[in-house]
Amino acid sequence: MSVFDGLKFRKVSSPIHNLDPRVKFVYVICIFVAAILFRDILPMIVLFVMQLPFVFLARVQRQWLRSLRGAAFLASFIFIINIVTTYFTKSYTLPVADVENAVAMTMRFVVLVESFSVFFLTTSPDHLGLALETSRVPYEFAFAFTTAVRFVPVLAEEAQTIMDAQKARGLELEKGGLMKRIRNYIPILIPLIVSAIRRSLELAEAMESRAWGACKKRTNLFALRLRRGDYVLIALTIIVLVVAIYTYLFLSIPTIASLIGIV
Amino acid sequence: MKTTYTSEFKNPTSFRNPKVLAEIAIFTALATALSTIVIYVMPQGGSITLASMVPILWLSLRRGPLVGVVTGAIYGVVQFMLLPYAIDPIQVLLDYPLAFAVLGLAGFFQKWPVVGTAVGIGLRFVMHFLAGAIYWAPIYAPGIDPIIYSSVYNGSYLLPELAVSGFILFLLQKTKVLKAYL
Repeated sequence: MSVFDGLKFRKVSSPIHNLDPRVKFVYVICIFVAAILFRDILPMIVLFVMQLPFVFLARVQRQWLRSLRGAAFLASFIFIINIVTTYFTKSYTLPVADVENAVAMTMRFVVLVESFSVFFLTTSPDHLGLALETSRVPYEFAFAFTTAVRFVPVLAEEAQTIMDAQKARGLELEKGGLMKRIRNYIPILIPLIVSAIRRSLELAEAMESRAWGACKKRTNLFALRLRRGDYVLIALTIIVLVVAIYTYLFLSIPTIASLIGIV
Repeated sequence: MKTTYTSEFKNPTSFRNPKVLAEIAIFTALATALSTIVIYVMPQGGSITLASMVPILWLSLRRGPLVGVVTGAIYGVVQFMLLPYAIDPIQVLLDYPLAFAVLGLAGFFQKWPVVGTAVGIGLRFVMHFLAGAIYWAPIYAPGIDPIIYSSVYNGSYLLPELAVSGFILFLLQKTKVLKAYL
């Protein structure tokens, strides 16, 4: 279940994981906005490099590389299409500026996608639920979100078990046309849905027996508090925002071509 | 401590009812789990998942549109968490929470599940179509007409999903699982 690695609730302790998720989210939004503002290659490289310390401090390189691989597939697609259309619209020539523009668009896509990826890789789902709750999202939604995330690996395992059980009884899943295959999945889907309803009934009983929603104001054992690292990140966020807006308004960004003197 | 055990907690269509809330959470998880199981690999390389939209459509047919919309929105957020393709704030809204929240509107057609499925997935197509035409087409396919690009791309995987989900919901309705343990 490698896809659901990010959904596992485990206690990971790293300088980044311990940061307040709200502050981290604001920082990610700020990187996102900066990436939307610019369309040149230089700021994209800067924004990309800025994400690296986070990845290495949180020791999530492996997961990060995997998400990067997914983004790289789409990014290469974007790059090729951009190059091809330029080639045909500019009457079969490839000006350096246009190639650079294509690279910048691709980098921009990667930076935009990875900014959120880094946030979700370094924030555990329970922290996320806590953050939702403290930022005035109705508790029902925060609860449904955390519980759903928590149950994904359980239900994925159950789906696999039911599939194996039905296969052992002679159900053939990899045979026939599309309609036949869909019909074959009904004996899997019905037990899965019924067991999901049963599970939800158990969950509802557990909730009610613990007086879920009895008092309007809930308290938490672990409250989110801003620590020293969070203030550093807040300062960093403000610096990034100010520099990005200043650069956007008052400076003209040199292209790589003009820097190394091709043009 | 004064308890506030109101009628809302007994109402079978309110998401404040613990029973309904538990179903929302479990079915969001089920949809996420199903979205990784591939039924059929299409000739051109696309794949049809084991009807990952069925749990959401099913819950909205069972509990009404409001619960369906809430479930869809939460499912969208979980999907965003797994695969955050973000290129613009509005695009994120259209492609994730909104696209899945509109699936819940199938709950208006509780008597005709197949019509509800078609409406829900049709509206999801509209959301992805808007996001595709406005935000994805300019960076993905600068040379192609954004309307054609977006409708072809989104239609290519939503039409088979519609067929699968409609067929499965039709069969589920016949087996009366739709209203089990209500």
